[in-house]
Amino acid sequence: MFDPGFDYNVIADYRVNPVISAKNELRRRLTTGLIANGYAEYKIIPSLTLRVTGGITNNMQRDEAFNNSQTQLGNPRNSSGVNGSVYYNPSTIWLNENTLSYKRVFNKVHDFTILAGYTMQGNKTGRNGFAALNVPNESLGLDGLDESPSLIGTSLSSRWGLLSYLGRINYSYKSKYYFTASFRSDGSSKFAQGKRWGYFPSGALSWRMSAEEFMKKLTFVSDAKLRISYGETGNNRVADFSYLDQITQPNSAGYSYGNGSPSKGAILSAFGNANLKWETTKQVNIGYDLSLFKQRVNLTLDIYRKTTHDLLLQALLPYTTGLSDAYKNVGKMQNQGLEISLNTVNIHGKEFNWSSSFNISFNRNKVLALSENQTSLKSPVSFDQKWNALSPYIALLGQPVGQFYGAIWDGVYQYEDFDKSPQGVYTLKDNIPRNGNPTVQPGDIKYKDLDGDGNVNANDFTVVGRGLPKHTGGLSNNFSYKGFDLNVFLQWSYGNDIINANRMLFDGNGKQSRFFNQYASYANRWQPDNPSNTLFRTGGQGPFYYSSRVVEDGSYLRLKTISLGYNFPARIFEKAQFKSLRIYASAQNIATWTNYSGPDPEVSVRNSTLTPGFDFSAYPLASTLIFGLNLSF
Amino acid sequence: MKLIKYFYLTMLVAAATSCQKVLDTNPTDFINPDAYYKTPEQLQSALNGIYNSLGTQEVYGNNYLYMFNTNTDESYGRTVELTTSYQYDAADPKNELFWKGLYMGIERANLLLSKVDNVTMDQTAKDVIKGQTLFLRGFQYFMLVSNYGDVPLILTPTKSVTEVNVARTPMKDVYAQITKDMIDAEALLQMQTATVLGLGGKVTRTAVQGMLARVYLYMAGFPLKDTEKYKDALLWANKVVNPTGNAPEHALNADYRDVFIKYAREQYDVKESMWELEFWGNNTGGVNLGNTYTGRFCGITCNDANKGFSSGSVNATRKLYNSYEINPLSTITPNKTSFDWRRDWNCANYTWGTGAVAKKTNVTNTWLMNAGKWRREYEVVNPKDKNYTSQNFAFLRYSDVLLMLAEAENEVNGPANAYQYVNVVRKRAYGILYGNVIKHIAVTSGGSGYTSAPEVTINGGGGSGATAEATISGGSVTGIIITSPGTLTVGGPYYTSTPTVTLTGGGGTGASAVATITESDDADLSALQISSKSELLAAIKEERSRELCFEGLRRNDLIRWGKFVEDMKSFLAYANANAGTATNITTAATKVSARNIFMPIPIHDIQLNNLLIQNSGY
Repeated sequence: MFDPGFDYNVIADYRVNPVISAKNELRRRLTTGLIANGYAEYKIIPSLTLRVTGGITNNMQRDEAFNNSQTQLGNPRNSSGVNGSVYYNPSTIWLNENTLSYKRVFNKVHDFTILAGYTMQGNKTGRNGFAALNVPNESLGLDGLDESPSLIGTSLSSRWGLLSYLGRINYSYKSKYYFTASFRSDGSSKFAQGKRWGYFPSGALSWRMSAEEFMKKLTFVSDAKLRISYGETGNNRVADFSYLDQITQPNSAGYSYGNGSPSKGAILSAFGNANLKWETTKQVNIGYDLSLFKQRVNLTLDIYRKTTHDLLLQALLPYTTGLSDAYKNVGKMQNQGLEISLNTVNIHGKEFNWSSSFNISFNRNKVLALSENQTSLKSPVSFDQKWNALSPYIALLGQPVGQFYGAIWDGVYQYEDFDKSPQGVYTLKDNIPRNGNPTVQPGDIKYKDLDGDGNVNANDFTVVGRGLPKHTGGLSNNFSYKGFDLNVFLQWSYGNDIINANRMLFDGNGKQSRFFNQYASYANRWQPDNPSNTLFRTGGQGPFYYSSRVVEDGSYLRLKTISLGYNFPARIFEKAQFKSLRIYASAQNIATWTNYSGPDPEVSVRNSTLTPGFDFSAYPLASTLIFGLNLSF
Repeated sequence: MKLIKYFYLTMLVAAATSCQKVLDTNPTDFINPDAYYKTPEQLQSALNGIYNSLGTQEVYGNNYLYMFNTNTDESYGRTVELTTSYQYDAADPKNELFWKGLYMGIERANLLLSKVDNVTMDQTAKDVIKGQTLFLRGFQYFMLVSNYGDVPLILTPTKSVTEVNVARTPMKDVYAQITKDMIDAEALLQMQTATVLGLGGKVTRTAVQGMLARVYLYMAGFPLKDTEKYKDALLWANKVVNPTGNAPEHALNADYRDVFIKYAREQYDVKESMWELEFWGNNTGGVNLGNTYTGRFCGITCNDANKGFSSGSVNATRKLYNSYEINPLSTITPNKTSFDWRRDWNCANYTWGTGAVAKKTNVTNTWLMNAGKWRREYEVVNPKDKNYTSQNFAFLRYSDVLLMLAEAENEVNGPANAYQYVNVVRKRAYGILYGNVIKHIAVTSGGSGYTSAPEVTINGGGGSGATAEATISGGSVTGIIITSPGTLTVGGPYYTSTPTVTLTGGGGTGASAVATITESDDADLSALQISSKSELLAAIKEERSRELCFEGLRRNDLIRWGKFVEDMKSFLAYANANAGTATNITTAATKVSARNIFMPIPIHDIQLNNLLIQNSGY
């Protein structure tokens, strides 16, 4: 469990053997649920139908955790001691939909469907249970939690409701022209009175060109369709009551008078934002579907522009407000791009078949506006307290979101950057900027001083990488020969960077933690006799900013899947009572070609629109190999 | 059939209109402020929340005291940390938390102040709540302005999360608001006294008066240098020490050590400890209201959970140790004993070792003595938590007020009437504030044949409670250390004549010793020290360190006296000249520069509040 090389009574060493710890931890989630759905339909007149549906989903999820003395969180060197918890998380979702639909074909060519109605939805979630610290008898496991001297209870519930009115008209003419228009208004309980309703129209036109006479002559065209659509959609992903200020009396906010049991303090624990409203995304899409040579070649092209207004975000606040964040509608953002997908049947024979499927997406993101006339929005990422105050991401007006933000790394200060006094003291030459620390020594980390004031501080931070890719895509090939089938799938991402925050800790020990294993690169750090320009000396991390040092190209090509199967011919088991027999083997994540130094370039441990591509202590990607057998009767 | 159709349609319309209720959800896990602050109990709960914010880890629970006040000329950190050694920058998380913690408390106070006048309740009770709240807001702004200079001055609760840009208000205006809040509070708290309450954990009339003296001294000093304010400091300090109309509320404990033992024992000394921050419990049951500074970080190294774990992270400097007057006749080596009982209390000459079972281990190197002010071995809350102690922390002690009074009086009227207050503090330090005690025991004959230290008995002389230990070497008694000079209480009994000392046991014979007792002016400042304003000021500067070391005051004292960086550099020179060349002793003094007069505005706020301008040098 512990490193026998150190006497804990002499030096506090909190490291544990992670394998032993993982084997001894209990993490169990048990879910029981009830799902009930029903509907009733009534034809008022033959073309007019009333449909009422109702559904309810009840779940009870029980989370159990136990950390015995052989775990990282429960060992005797941890002040919580042996500990565990049991929580019940009930949730109820109900949905009721009521629609009237009218469907009729006029003159055999005008096909109308009209639908109107309203839906109601409600959700209730809760959490009840307790955690126990310093459990005396660990052999009792969860049943011994009640013997703990230190029990911490939790009891809470929350709820939201959604009410929507909707209407839709579908019209088609001879299966050649299609027209759809719809409108919905959604009311959400998550917003204040007066801000609850969002209105979302949409419309689409499509034209099956291949049904036209002039196209019918082109016999190699199997199908061709032009699509144009416009739609608005809403998003209300905020906490259930984020429009209200919140007063709570948590355990942590007490104060003891006269050594008595603490008197609870009533504190402001969250700011409400009464101006919150629906986030709306308006999307225009033009698409073309083309199928050629008896559907041997199928091409789909889509060009789109999505504009998101009133982007909802749990935005940071200056601490002078008294708290650190609140939900806000923070700005306007645009995504536009092109998606191409091509499916081909390359060989279609009696015994051997080969088909391919290829897709590629190009997306360009741009920030169009930020609230309160800001020109930039910086986003911190929480991974280690030391860097919590810094924002590694920035969204700048007119530029894509999710750009990396920090200092430009410039290697390591070398002896020649200094004047040496007769006493052997190294003083930085006048023309060489400091790294932000008041004094600098040879071997310290060096950054670029962009504003030329002789010192590197927050004013010298700039964009040091992009979190979003230029294009992504995949290529899948399917082969079959007699009973065998083979699928090979490749995927890629190009043009995105990753911030490898692991290196903030393990590539130079910038936190100066004791007992902290380092990457092999540490052996080649700057030392008086090893003037490395890649890794600073021990303790030479300076004011340890996010910098281009840890921003890496995250482009990759990955052989994601190979699967090989064999279907036994039916004659083999004619006499047995089953219909088919198949065996297969499938391998996932077989190979990755990338320049990224971390274990997985597909990583994004703090994924959000504003903070893509952050790597810290990600769970490693598993390479899996599956053998299987399918038997159907 | 038609009827049924209409029935359905009617039902549908009826349902559609009533279903608006789906949207009328009510929260059950919190209360809306509009529904709160209606009763006296609710106002009190809101006030509890403000006291709470001062005691969080971010503020006085550890962060401010350890992270920002460990390295001065009186103490240094056992390990070099960027934050503790003046190498913090605007991105420093500890600095950010400190700022955050204070503004969080200010918001709580602003919210309460915006509601308190609307509540119908007993006026006296309301005044007490409002007075405490006003004072606490002022105190938190005082923490901000004295550490950051100009700061955003926000006096109403945050109304909008979208209008958050607030510029820094000039220091003098921030100070003006602080003194206004505190003076208003003093008027409202006339009936709230420590004697009536019997505890030190609440703001009282005299706590406000004493703190006002501190605020005015800071205003009179660097960087504001509004020297007129010495008069105000004098006025308010006098209200505590020499009140007109009331009997004085406060007096010094006869025994300096007992002041701190009482914190560990969860006892109150409302005469001396004028305002303290209460910490509670041992971090069980999810109630984490202990602190990690007093006794835990700033304590005597100990790995034994029963005695009370301490990392011993703060050491006294040799400069501090040597500033206490030694007994020139002492034969104890290598460190002569001191007449001043504060020395061996503040500079612990032992640790509890590094083993899991405490073992008292002597420390004689005066660079390596732990700050011993708060000692976990006296704690009474069991079991002791490893990281959190329930020892209260004093914001304001009476000795501080006496020294502030002396300083203000000296500045305004010169030394003639000022030095007496320093002498009161010094007398208590020597144990002679209320009578005379044993001063020295000289060995008149070492005797021979001693295999262990003989027992020392002190009899007669009119006093009681004096104890001493003998040291032996080569079979004879070489010296005697007084472990208690007498019964240090207000009533004594004290010594009026020389008692008899007898040495018994130890296997030897022939040793004898004689005691001398103190005289009432033993502790007084010398004639030179009181000869001029500047001499007395110099004496007060040293006395404050001797008396108030490790209490989070030294750095700001040095700053307000206007020579912080120079003082730190002279300490560096002192350390280098006096074998204090270890990097943990010298790093902070090496790294400190003019920018450290103020702490940096956290980058978090700089990024989110467009009107903030950074302090120079960061």
